[in-house]
Amino acid sequence: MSNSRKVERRINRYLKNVGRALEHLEPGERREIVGALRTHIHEGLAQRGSTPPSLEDVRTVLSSMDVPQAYRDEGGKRGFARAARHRTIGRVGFFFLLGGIGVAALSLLLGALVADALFQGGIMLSVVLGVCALGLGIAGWRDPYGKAAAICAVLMLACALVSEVMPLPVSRTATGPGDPEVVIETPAETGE
Amino acid sequence: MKSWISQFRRGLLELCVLNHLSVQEDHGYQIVQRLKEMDGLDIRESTVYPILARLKTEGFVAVRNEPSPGGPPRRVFRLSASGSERLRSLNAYWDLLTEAINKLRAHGPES
Repeated sequence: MSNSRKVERRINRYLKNVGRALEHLEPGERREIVGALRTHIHEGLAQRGSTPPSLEDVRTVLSSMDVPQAYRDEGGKRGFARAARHRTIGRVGFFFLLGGIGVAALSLLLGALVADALFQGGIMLSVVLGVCALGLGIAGWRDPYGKAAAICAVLMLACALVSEVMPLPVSRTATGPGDPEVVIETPAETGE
Repeated sequence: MKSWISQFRRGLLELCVLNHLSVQEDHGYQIVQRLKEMDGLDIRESTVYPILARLKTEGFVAVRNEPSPGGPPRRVFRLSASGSERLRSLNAYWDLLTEAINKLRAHGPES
């Protein structure tokens, strides 16, 4: 491996650890700090005057800087509490979404097999769960589960809206267990 | 006590960064080096860069890229219009505080 690649790998490892320590921050803010630190390291290397920098130069510059853990400490408890709140809200939203999808699937099945009323009721319930998932997903947007809940809830609600506006061309049987049987009369043969 | 000093220092650091940028636009490395020269503040990269990032997010500083020989582009920070406004109010509050504390100390046992 060439020296410049070793140098870049050492710098990247340090910055990756800093990025992990800054997990409590917004992704944009985290990127800004990591980007500024990368420039800072290269400025430090340029100040040492050795071009191209050796691995030893990088070690010296990095050892003069804060350890990645220091960035976690700077975030304070407030940042971690906020991140934990987003995580919880996002995950609850995701469970609401799963519930909504499950109820929609069940209502499709029951609507086809048992009665139309079950289908209508189930879809209404899944829409309510979808709206809850959307709200919670937006509130917990910073968590990946929250993001997934919000995006999937929008798709689910859009599907429900489309199915409401444009009914499915396949007609479901409306007959329930109590419906009368259809009697088909055939003309009797007289034999005349 | 330690936590109180840490909070106090963080607030002061924001004031120092904004005051430094009001004099000249500068890139991160120079800002850190300049502020490190100040006694008592215990400036480190881990304190300056998160503050710069937050000030940028809040719109108090603007950033532009400048080419750098042999490295990634430099991030040059400058004070925005709303940053100047914030600095004015922070400086006014600082003057008020120091004046009040000096008055208290003038009547204290040290005087």
